[in-house]
Amino acid sequence: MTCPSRLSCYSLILAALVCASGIVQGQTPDAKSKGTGSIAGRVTVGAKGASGITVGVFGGDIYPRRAAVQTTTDSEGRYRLFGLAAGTYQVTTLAPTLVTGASNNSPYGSGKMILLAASESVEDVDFKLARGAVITGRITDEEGKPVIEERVILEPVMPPGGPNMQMSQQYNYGPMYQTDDRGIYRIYGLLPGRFKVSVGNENGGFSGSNGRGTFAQTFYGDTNDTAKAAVVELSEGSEATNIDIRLGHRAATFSVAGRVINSENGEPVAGVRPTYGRISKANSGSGAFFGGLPTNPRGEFRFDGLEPGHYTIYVSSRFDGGDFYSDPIVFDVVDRDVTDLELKALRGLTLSGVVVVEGESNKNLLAQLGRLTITAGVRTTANPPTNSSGSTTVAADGSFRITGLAPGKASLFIYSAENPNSRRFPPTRVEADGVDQTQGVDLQAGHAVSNLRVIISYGTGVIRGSVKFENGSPPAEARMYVAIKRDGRPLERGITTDARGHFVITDIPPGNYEVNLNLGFYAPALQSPQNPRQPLKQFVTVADDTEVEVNFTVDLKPKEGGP
Amino acid sequence: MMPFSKPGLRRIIPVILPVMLGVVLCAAPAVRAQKAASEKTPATLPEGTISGRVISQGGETISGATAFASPIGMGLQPRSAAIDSTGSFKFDALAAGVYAVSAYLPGFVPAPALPDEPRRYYRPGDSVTLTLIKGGVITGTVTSATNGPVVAAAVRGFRVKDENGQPEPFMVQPRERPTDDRGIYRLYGLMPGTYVISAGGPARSYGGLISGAYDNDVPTYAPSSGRDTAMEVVVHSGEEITADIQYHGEPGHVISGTLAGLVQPSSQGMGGAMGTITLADVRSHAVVTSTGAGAMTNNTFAFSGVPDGDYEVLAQQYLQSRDLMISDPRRLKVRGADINGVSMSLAPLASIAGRVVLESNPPADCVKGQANALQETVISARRFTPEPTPANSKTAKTESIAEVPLATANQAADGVPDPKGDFALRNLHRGPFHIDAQLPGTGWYLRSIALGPPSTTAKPSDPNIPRDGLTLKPAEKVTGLTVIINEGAASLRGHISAGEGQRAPAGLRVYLVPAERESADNVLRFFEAAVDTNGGFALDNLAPGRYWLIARAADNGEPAKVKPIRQESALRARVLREAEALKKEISFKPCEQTIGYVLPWTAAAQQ
Repeated sequence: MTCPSRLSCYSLILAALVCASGIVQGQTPDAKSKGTGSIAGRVTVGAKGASGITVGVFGGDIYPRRAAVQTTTDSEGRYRLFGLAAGTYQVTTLAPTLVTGASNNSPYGSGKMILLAASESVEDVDFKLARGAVITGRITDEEGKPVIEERVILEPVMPPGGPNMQMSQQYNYGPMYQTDDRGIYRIYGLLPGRFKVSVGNENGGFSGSNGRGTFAQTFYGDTNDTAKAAVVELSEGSEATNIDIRLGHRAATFSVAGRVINSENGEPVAGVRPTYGRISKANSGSGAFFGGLPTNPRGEFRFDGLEPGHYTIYVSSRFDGGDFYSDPIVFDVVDRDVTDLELKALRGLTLSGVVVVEGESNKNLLAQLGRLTITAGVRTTANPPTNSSGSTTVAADGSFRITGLAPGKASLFIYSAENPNSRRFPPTRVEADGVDQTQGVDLQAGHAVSNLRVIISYGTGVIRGSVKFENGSPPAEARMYVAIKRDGRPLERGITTDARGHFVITDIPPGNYEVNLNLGFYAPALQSPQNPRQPLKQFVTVADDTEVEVNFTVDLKPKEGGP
Repeated sequence: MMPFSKPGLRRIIPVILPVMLGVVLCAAPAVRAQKAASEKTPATLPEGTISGRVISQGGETISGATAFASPIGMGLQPRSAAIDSTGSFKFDALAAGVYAVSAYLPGFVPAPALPDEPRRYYRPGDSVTLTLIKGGVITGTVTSATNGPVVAAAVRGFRVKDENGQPEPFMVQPRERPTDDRGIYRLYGLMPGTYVISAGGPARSYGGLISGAYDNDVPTYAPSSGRDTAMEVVVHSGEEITADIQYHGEPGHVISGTLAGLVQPSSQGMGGAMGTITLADVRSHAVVTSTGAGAMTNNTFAFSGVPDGDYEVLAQQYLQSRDLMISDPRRLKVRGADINGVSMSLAPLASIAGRVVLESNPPADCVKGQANALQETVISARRFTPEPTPANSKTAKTESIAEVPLATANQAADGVPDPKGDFALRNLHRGPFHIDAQLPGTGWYLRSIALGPPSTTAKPSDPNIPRDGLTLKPAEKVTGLTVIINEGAASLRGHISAGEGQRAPAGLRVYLVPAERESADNVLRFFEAAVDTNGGFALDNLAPGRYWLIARAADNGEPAKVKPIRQESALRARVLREAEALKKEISFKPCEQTIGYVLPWTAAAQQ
């Protein structure tokens, strides 16, 4: 990790933490009140109980990531976690050299989610683990010198037509995926399988502000061609050594400079941040985009460290870029610095209105939600596409005003920074002067949109339920997802069931709900082209301050006439 | 160390030492500007370019490195440039200004700064030589009580002493790497110095969702102890040291609390604003760990795995405006139990705003590069501990604990004026600050630093800012600081001529003090330079006038501990008294350049 200063290191770490959020949604256990609930089970490796394995239970809050309670397994592999209050927990073995069948396949690692009722004792939360495999090797440059702090990429090779397994993010970004000062890497805790190992950037590099060019992606087998890459075969507990890769040279990098002028009067525009990104053949302009430094008083900007390639650049409010936007300019970096780019900027459009909470019964709801932030993301009509967005805090009376937007179709996102249990409040309806704009607000050049009415829904209703299986039991790695529709319209409050098939969805507004159980998440055996399963449906009515129970029964008996 | 003798016993036996203008170690801004000028390679570098070279002390060719040029005080991101295969780099089209230039290469570290060397800044037109050295390595195996590997535990290396064995004066951020599946760790790219190593305790997050098995443990220090009896290992450049750890794995305590006062940015990600909470060990001055708090955490924070000890908790939030929000540092004693409910509250820091005024009075023509002079000036504020007086000796000590968090003990701010001359010094703690300037070239001298608009007649009742500094209240916004820089500075080059059979001691300093009685209180008329190993000295940016000149050794025999004369009134009075007695007078007209000056010195010239 490049850390020109301590400050930037901090921000990188915090950014990583922010990225890790927002996956588990559920009730936050009250850390202060020690409960009397417990969770118990057994950890096995092969057929034997595994002793001395640390098992931790984590609260529904992702961060801080500290285990609420942890223990180690006894000589039989058994564990029991005591003193738990009611809430949503993640039970996890903290043994990174061991793997479960799905560990690299699920964002939860080897964990199991448990919805724990007050004073409940949950038994048989078992973990069947296997010894993970290891890949290790050394990365050198064309002179045979070690390449330090370069990321190693593992790509599982799937049998043709099989499910598309992806490495979990947790593993991909771990420090073990980086070479050390000798160029050596060592990646452990891997599932058995076939892997391609590579270093460098796919589709050419993008070094951003780092300045030094990247290496072209080079696979084990010293080839740039993924089709010719040597495949590393890993069996359970095996160690593949000397998986060495010799790289070519780093790409040269160049600078790009220009200025931003006001298209109305030709005056320089200071303090805006042009956004630039590489256009690859695969995706035209929707790749990684970077906001650089703001333009100086002469409207000038400059970016360092661009590798040869095809790029787009435009002015956008997206990275706190000020109140201007522009059409994109496309340029190529070939073998020299690019100078004299000129971006013609226009003052951005304003979107203003009021956020209201649906329903008459609960007038103070808006205040109860805490400080809300509203963000408008605009899909522009420019070619190549540009991004424009703006956000603001919603005032106590519900009013808001977002500036600096580009023309296009704006989608609105509302969330609370103070209410971690239900952070997002998707608008159920958006109106401009009584006209429905829920599918996107039209922003036209030169026309501000005011009198917008953004209706969000909130309530104190709860849907609680469970899933039972008949004629068989689901694979251990099965995940089930419960989605809800209110008055026929999806409400973005779906949730994954816990390891026992229990679920609870809180803080939902009153209404008539359709509850859908989607099977087979992360469990291809339950959902394959040969065995399609429609979501199971139930209909319930939810009122504020009430809890509705919804139970599903899944029959695992193969369908007659099926293959 | 050479004993000091009485002035009356002075013997002058001149021995001419070779005069060379080598590396002059000096905190005086005058010499720094001179040094930058001497590195200029005229007629080759276009205006707006800083070029340079990265060399390695170990002889390795430096490739794959990146150079950074960070503009001072302009709020711009650093410029970066790839360093080519010959070790050269170039930043062109730089705006007029002042830049810090550094090089980054994984596994390498900057060569240790020479003692007393100021933070060096560069201006367009300068060329720079940066030296990188191969970092040291500490590696080893962490083993459990049952002799199994301790996997994915955080191993940290704390640098407790520098390469000269001096304790780290400021907060130390540890290096951290996890152990692998065999329990092996490897900390590389270490600055030379003395380290202690710990395993266990809260690990840095790499974006993973869960912590490790050892996060709630008290760290075990190598070879197998707590912090107090930790083994110290000395790391040299390029050397690899093995330090195995027998891991204990005892549960630690928790420090937890809440954070208030976060500033929500105008545009924000889904998580909202985030503050950084730092836990520092009071005795070792080391950052134990840091964590975040914000909307995502319900504005709560918690540190686990905390052993008994004395700690300081500090909260900070960096704003996009470059302002820093900070809490009061909280001192906590952990003694056998968790500490919950620590409430931290963020508040803005103090700042100083002002204007630099360039004057030509009387007109002089020895100034070059006048066009960018304002933007190439650096105004700095450095926090200092007031000299103890009977009245403040007690309070000064206790306040320094309460006022200055460990994390920011090195309190300083640099500002560069904009083209109009306006500058700002941000993010300053409460307390006293010395104000000084680094001048844009040799032809300028610092005439005055005062509050309010420039005026020719200073009243005796006006605060003497060059002498006393500015004392800031919490979050105080001082405005209207006027710094007047005048054309027509003089300069002096010379060497020490020691008595026959004698050598001038190392660490000798040359002082220039005002000979006019009425200027004795004008701190800006005091100048100093270190004498280099060949006896040479150089003084620049001198205000015209009459001076006494004296060379002297450190009073306590420790040259490294000599404070700048502008910052210590007792030293000023002493040097003034000695110089008056010595009666070595020198005067400078505007723009006068004196070279080849011979200053006699004998061992007896002291006391």
